[in-house]
Amino acid sequence: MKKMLYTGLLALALGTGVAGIATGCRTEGALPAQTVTGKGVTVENDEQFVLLDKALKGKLSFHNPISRRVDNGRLEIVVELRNRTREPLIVNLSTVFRDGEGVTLNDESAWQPVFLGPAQTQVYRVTSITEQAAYFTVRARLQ
Amino acid sequence: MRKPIRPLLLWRVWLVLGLMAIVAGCASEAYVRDIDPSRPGTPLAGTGPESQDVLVIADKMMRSLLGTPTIANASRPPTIALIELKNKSRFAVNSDIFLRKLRVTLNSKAAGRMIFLDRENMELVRKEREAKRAGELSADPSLQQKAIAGADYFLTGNVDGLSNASQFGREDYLLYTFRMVDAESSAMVWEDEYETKRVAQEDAVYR
Repeated sequence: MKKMLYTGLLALALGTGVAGIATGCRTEGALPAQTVTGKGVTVENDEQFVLLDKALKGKLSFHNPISRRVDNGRLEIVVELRNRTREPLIVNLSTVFRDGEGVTLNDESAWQPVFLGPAQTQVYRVTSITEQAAYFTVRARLQ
Repeated sequence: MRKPIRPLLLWRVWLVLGLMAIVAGCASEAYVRDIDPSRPGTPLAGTGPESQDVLVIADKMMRSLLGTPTIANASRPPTIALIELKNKSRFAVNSDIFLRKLRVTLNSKAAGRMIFLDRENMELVRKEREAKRAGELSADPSLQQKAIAGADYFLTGNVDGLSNASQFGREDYLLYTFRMVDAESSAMVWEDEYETKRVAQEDAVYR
């Protein structure tokens, strides 16, 4: 019994020591900066229209999207949203605008609620703040 | 004849009860947490103005305001003074939050398109100017102006509400309207709106 207890304590002490050394090695000094290999592409950046909730798949669809320059060269996005279910659907939509190089601007619209009746189509419209906006991603999530 | 309770069994019962109390204590502490202000629907939500409304209103009004010809075609950034929002709804909320959030959003995201005047600190500005001109405080002559800046436009708004309640719950419709008024002619050069309608079984207390 005593032997088992001593073996257990020894294992615990060893484990703690190894963990301490490992932690010390990890936090010592500044980490090297990560090398940039591309544009930092994610799934969301690849698409113009994204469903953030899996539950929205098959329920919400985007149609007839238009992007055009309006007053002062700002970028306007107009897209039709269709509720593909027979139930009322409430979704939140937000748009991220990016410049010509694909870098995100300080221009992310607030999550706007959109109420869709059964099988109803509604228009979502958003305009960028500046004329620097060239690319966009419209994101939808469940409320 | 009833069997006597063994001391070891009693001790185990007390141990289990103690552990349960600790777990329950931890669970109640974990309830305090940060949540996304753009998300509605927490158990505490009511039918009145919520944080997500503040964010959406500020964003929508900013984008609408930037598209108005008064701002878009201005040869120089117009000066704007905020006038307190009139809250005519049943909710005793801090209605200043809407205009303040709009001003901050415009200043941080569309800096330089318009200049907001700080009318809350007029007396402080006046005293500073007098002290500089009296030679009590140092001043950069190139920054001196003949007078304190006047407003080209006033930005203000209203919150109006329709409410009804029955034994089944409560329903509130809120209409937020914002307008920009020419400070010389009183002409309304821009106006936009946002509305919410919410129903709940129980009412929440707003401050």
